Amino acid sequence: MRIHYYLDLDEKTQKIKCRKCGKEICHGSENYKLHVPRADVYPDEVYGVRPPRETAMVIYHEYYCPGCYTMLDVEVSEPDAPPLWDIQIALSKHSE
Amino acid sequence: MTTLVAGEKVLYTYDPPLEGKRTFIGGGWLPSREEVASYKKLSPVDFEILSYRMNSIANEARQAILRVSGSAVVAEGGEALFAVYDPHGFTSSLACGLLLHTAGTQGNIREVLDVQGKMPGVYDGDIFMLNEPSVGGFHACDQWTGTPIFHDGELIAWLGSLTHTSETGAIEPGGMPASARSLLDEGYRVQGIKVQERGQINRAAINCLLRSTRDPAYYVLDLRARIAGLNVAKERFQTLIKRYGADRVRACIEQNIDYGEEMARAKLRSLADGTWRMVCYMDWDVGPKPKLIKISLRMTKQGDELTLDFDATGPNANYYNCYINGTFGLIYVAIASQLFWETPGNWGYIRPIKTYIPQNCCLNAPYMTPVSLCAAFPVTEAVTACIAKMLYTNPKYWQDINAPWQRNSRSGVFWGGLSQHGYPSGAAFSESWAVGTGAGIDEGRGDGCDTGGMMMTVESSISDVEMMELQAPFLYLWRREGLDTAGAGRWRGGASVSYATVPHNSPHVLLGFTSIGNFADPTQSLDGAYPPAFEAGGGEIVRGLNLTEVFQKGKVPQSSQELHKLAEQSRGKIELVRTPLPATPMATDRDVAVSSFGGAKGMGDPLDREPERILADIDNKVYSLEMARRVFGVVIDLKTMKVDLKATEAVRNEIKANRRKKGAIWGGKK
Repeated sequence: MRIHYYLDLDEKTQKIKCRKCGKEICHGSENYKLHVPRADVYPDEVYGVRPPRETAMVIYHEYYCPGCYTMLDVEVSEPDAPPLWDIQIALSKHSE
Repeated sequence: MTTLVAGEKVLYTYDPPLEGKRTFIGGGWLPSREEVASYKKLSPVDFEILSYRMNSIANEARQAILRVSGSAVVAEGGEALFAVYDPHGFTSSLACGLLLHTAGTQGNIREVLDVQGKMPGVYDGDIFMLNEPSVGGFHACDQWTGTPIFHDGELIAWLGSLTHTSETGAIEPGGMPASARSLLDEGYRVQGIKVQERGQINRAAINCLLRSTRDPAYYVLDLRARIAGLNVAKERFQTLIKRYGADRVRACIEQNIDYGEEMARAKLRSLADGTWRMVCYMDWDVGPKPKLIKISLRMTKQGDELTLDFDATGPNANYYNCYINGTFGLIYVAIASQLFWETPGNWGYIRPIKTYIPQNCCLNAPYMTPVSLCAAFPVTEAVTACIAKMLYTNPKYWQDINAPWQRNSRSGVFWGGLSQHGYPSGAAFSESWAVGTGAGIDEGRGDGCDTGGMMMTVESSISDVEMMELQAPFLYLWRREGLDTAGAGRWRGGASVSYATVPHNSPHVLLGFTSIGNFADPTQSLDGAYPPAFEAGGGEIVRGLNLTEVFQKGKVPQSSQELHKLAEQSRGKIELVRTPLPATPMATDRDVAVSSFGGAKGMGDPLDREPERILADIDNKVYSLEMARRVFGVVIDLKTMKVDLKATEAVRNEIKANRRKKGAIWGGKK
């Protein structure tokens, strides 16, 4: 089952995998963001007119596939925020 | 609405308690809910014909509103709604340019029945008006008029029309004052007065309105537009009753609602169960320092029900708050356009949804809190993002996946003062609707549409520059799609508008700025794309220019940098606008407002975007060469203006290597 632009949930193994490189990331009952590299980036490190770091109240947390380093998400959040569990499929109940 | 207290949160099931008995309301009988529920179901053929007819009536009435109104917000922005409701005010058919009001206006009918049902009564030919934000709208600009339809002494339906009417007589012109600190600062609020009684216009009631606004001419045109919509629909409705009989018409009204619910529940069942989350931000209260206002959503889908559970920061002292109807409006912009777009827009698709919102937070603000901007757009963004993630679970819906596209802004959008025609006025610029739309995925729309339209008013367009210059005392120096504003991703968001205006031919002009997203991006793109940026130079007032002299030389400045040079020559000054700016005086032919909206959100890793698409983006002035290289890793050979594939591969490898270097598992474990 597809759950993201770059991620599938393998319904047999119940593992979350990268659609590009096939890298197995974690069990589907877990927050995948706890199992992939994350980088903290000030908005003004990314080209474009964005909140400058002197006054910015949020930063970008970039998450990458540990296999192919495709960027999986750019979370806008407070600097010390833990990874947001944004996708949590109920494993026992899939679509009709 | 039935409310059950659950901790500090309140559960909204959208199921209002209604009296069970049949009630006499002056012009006839209001049937009980039981009677309404017992109306005989129509055959599939009759239902198809009648529901289609009712939908056509609503659309024709909305077109009548757009054609009569002279306001850019209504005529071009499309901020007008027409609805057919059942006797108790549940929406059955909706012609909705303004998705914000999918759910909200029902409260108005209940208020009329509750307050006026017994005395003075509700009669055929009455037209009621409400714009009370705490009852049925979003803010005071949302002005609703409604009329009952009786047949043989029984109320069988309501018709309702709504426009966003800019000038509310608030403490600043344009209806959305940044300096408001109370609902009392936001202009007149009409509580259900009859602007027409039993077919006769109530001039005293209308004078109450006209004498409360800076611009009675525009105001009365919007009022007449709404009444025109009601008249068109009423005539068509009566013809429908004559042809098909009242029993079938009222049965269709209820059956349409049930059909909407049935479709909505079926769609929910076809998606995987699960929970999706999103956190969004606003960044300003009343200063002097920015304040982070956090809105978080947990959306849970189980079987054929959807639960939206919000947490949000407490109410603000400024105009960013929403009353509960405003928040429902923001939720249903996303629900109507992203999830149930193929479902009849009515009460039925609201039934499967439960919403938890804490009391007294910015999304459920206490009465009297200012709400005129109702700028909690992140609510729509959060719901849209969660829906997009949920739609991945069934390939049938991949083509419908969209990144959100409510927007951040640095824009002078409200003006007031004397028009060039010599009368006082106040209104909004139409550029607010010229924002990009969100990106889709490979199986769907791909890139967002540049300046495609605001998310809450999907059918919107904007006035021609010439029309704006005819209506308002301004000249445009430029209006174009803003460079580098589109959210950068494998599929990019649509670019949003950039424009610069200078007052012209008027001795007295004020301009007010909205400003969102200068200290915290309100939300994010999806699945590896970056949040959209502003155009360089957007959000400033360049004062003290000698533009008459510049124009006489046949020149029109085309960039912020050119304006800065002119300011240097004339000893003018540059004021950056990074927070909401109350209406400020602007000198004729001397002070220029430069405005910019952030673009729409993108989808996927920017490094996955094909270099040839980036080349086209550069040709189309969507992205700069610098953006292409630094964010997309695409290098263009400046001599040939072709993609340098070798250099592109090297830059992209370098960006990926940098990711490997800086990325670490959260918690410090690499």
